[in-house]
Amino acid sequence: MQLKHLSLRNYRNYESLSLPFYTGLNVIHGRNAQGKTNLLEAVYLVCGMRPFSGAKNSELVRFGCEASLVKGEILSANGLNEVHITVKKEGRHTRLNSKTVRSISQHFGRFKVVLFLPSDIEIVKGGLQARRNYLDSVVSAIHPAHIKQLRDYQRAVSQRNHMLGLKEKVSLLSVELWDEQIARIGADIVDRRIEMIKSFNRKLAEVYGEHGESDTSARVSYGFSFERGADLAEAIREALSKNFPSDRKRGHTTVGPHRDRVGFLLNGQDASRFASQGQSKNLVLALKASEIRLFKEHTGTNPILLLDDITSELDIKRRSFLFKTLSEFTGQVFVTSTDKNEIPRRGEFHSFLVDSGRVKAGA
Amino acid sequence: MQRTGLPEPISRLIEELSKLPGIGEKNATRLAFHIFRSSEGYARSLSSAIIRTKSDVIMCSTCFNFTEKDPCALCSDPSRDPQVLCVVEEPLDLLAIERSGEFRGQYHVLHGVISPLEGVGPEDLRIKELVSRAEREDIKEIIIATGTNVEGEATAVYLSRTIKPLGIRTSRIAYGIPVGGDIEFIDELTLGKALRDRKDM
Ligand SMILES: Nc1ncnc2c1ncn2[C@@H]1O[C@H](COP(=O)(O)OP(=O)(O)O)[C@@H](O)[C@H]1O
Ligand SMILES: [Mg+2]
Ligand SMILES: [Zn+2]
Repeated sequence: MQLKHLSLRNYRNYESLSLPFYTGLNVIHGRNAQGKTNLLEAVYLVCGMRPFSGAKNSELVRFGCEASLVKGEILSANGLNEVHITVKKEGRHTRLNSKTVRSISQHFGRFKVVLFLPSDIEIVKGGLQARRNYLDSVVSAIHPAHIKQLRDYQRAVSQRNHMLGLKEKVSLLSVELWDEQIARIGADIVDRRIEMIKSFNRKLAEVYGEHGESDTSARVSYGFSFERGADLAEAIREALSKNFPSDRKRGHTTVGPHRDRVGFLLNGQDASRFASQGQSKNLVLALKASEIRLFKEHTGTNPILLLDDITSELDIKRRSFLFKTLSEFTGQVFVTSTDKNEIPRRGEFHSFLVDSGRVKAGA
Repeated sequence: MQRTGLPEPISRLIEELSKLPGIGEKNATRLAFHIFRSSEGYARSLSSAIIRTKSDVIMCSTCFNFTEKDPCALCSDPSRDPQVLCVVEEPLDLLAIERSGEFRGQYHVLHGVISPLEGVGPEDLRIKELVSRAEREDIKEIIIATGTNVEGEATAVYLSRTIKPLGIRTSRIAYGIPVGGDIEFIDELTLGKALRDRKDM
C-alpha cells in the first residue's frame, strides 16, 4: 500500500498543496507549529477516511473558509485508487474512485495505516477504556465488521440501560430482548478480541526476542467481566440475567464485553501499575511493531506507517529500537520531526520541509 | 423565511417542499418553479393527489397495511394462503416482499420496531392485534421479517417469545447474499451469517 499523491485545499493551515510521495521513508520536518502534524493528519484522513479520533470537522477546515478538499491517490493490491474528501462543518463527503462512500466502516481497513502518536505512550499507563479501545481499533483494522458490531453492541447496551432506568415496573421480557442482542453481538466481539490477543502475544514474543530481550515476557491479557463458559453468548446472557436486580438499582449494565479488562503483563506483572517509564515505552514500541506484522500476516500487505514526533519521547536506546523496526519495514513510512538528521538515512529517503503551511520537497 | 423578489405563494411552496425528506432548499426551489410553470390542471391534480393520501387512505383493520377499503385487497384475496403470516415493520417492507413474488400468504404490519430510547415499546406497535389474530385465525406459521439492525432483531425476539407459546411455528427470514453479487465485495457479517444459515442441496 502506498500513498502516491496528496492534494489539499484549505485544509488546516494549508491553503493549497499538491505533493507526490514515495515508497520508503518520507520525512516531514520543520520548526514547531508549521503544519507537520496537520500534513500527517491529512494522510491519515485520506487513507482511513476518518480524521484522528477527537478531531472535529470544523477544526479541519482552514480558518475563514467554507470547505476543505483532500485528495489522495493510493496504490493498493487492486491498483490505483482515488479518494476524494470534502470537509465542511456540517459533515464530510467521501468518494472512492468517484463513487460516494456511504459506510466508512465498510471501507475502513482497506487502506490501512498504523498511527503512532506521542500520546500513544499512554496506552500502557492509561485507563481501562483506552486499552480496550486500542485492542478494538487493531481488531477493526483487520476485521471491518468489528466496527459495526461495536456500534450495534453499544446501541443494545443503551437500549437496555434505558429500560433499567425506567421508574415504572418493567417486564422481564422487555429487558431480555436486549440481553439477547448484547449476548449475540457481544460473543462475536469477545471472540475476535481473544483471537487477536493470541496473535498479538505471538508477535510480542517475536519482537522482544529480536531486540535481545527474550528474557522479558510481554503479554496482552483479557479479563472477563462475567463468568466464562464454553458458549460465550450463553455466558453473557446468564450474567446479564443474574445481574438484573443490581443493574436495575444502578441504572446501567455492569457486565458484558464493554466491561471486560484488557491488560498488559510484563513478566506476569500488571504493566499499568508496575512498569517503569522505559519499560512501558518499550512495550508500546513492541505493540506497534506487532500491529504492523499482524496486519501484514492477515492481509498480505504492508500498512502505511505514520509516526508523529515520536523521537522526542524516546531516549537513545529506544530510538534505536524504533529505527531498527523501521529499517526492517518494507512499506511506506511518514515521519515528522523537528530535525531531519535525527532520522537515520537508510534505503529510500525523501525529505519535505514544512514552513508555515508550505512544503518544499527535497529540502 | 422571507425571500425578497419572490411572490409569497411560491415562497410558501418552497418552504413546504423543503420539509420533505431528502429535499433541500435548492431542490425545493427547482420543484416549486417547475410546478409554477406547469399547467393549472397539473397543479390541481398534484394537490388533490396529496390531499387524497390523507382523506382516502385508511388502515386495514386486519393487517394494518394502508388501503382504500377495509379489509384491504391482500386480506380479501381468496387465492392467498391465510395460514401463513409475514410480519413486517413498515408498509414499504410489504411492498418489497410483494415485488419478489415469492410470498403467497398474508401480512401483518407492525408500524415500527421496539426501541426504548425512542420511547417505542411493544404496546405502541400492532403486536396485540397480531396475537389476537393468531388466537382467532387458523395460522400455521408466522414469518418474522423485521430488519436486521439491533431493534429489528430485538423485536423479532419479542415476537417469537410471544407467539411460540401459542403453538404456532415461528421463523425468521434468512440473511442472504445479493444475487449476482461478487462474494469478494460482500461484507463479512452478511457472508458469515449466510454461511451459518447455509442449506443442503
Ligand atoms: N483549521 C485551521 N486553519 C488554519 N490554521 C490552523 C488550523 N488548525 C490548525 N492550524 C494551525 O496549524 C499550526 C499547527 O500545525 P501543526 O501541524 O500542529 O504543527 P507542527 O509542525 O508543530 O506539527 C498552528 O499554527 C495552528 O494555528
Ligand atoms: Mg506536531
Ligand atoms: Zn389487510
